[in-house]
Amino acid sequence: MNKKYLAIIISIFVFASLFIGIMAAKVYETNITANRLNEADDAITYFTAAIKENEHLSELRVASINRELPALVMQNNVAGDISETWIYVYDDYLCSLSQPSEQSINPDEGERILPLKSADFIMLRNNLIEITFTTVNDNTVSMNLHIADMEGGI
Amino acid sequence: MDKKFRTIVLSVLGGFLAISLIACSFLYVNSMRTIHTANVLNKASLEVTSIAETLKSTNGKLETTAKLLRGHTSYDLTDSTIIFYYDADMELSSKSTATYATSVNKSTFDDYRSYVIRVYRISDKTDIYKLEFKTVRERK
Repeated sequence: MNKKYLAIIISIFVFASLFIGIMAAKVYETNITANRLNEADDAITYFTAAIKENEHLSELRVASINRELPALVMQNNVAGDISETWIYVYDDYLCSLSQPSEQSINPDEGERILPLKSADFIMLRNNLIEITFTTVNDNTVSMNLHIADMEGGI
Repeated sequence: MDKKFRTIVLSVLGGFLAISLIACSFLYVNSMRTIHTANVLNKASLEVTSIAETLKSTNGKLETTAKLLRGHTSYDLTDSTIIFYYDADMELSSKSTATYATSVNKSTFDDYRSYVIRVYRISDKTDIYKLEFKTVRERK
């Protein structure tokens, strides 16, 4: 009788431990999901800041590097000195590269901003850009951003 | 160790284990619910921001705004309101399967337009996210 009682208690402990272990794994998985959201938020913040902070100084256009990598290009004209900032995804990183206009682009030289799998840019109108990107955890996000100064906007 | 003492110890341990299990289960269910709510709110805020940005670009033209938003093919449109529909995970869906909706209400005044964008639960019309803003009307 005592042995049977002990076996039941041990079984309950074993099953309970397994149950808690499975729940802990699920909570860990949940945290990973939360991190995915954070990754997307970081990218959204970066794109929004890059466009909004530069809209009074820059001419913005969509281009591609070597006809492969979609890129967002902001042309800055400060006192006649024209330079370009290229934003693109290369080697699983969102990169930014600033250099004089008309100089050829080498994606290797860009500054790595944050991990990102891909990004695509479409000018929907003169004053509206659609940015679609995929994080390294395969979370795809699409957003539209208004560019105030490019068509006498609001 | 006598039999009675052993029984008491095992009972206390069993009780502690049972309480721990209940607490863990409760925390687990709560954490899942919280992450789902956070996920929905995150998508709602992005959706509302994207709609607002597009409205600014189109000077408040609701139908043009809907056409410029990726994947928004199903919506209800009137002169001053547009409604988009989403499932329980805040992904775009048809009206019949929708859990959430986003309504855009536009009011036009002499010098400006006013917009109210609400994301709400369809079942009880409770707002989960709301944005109000105004834009200056362009002079012709």
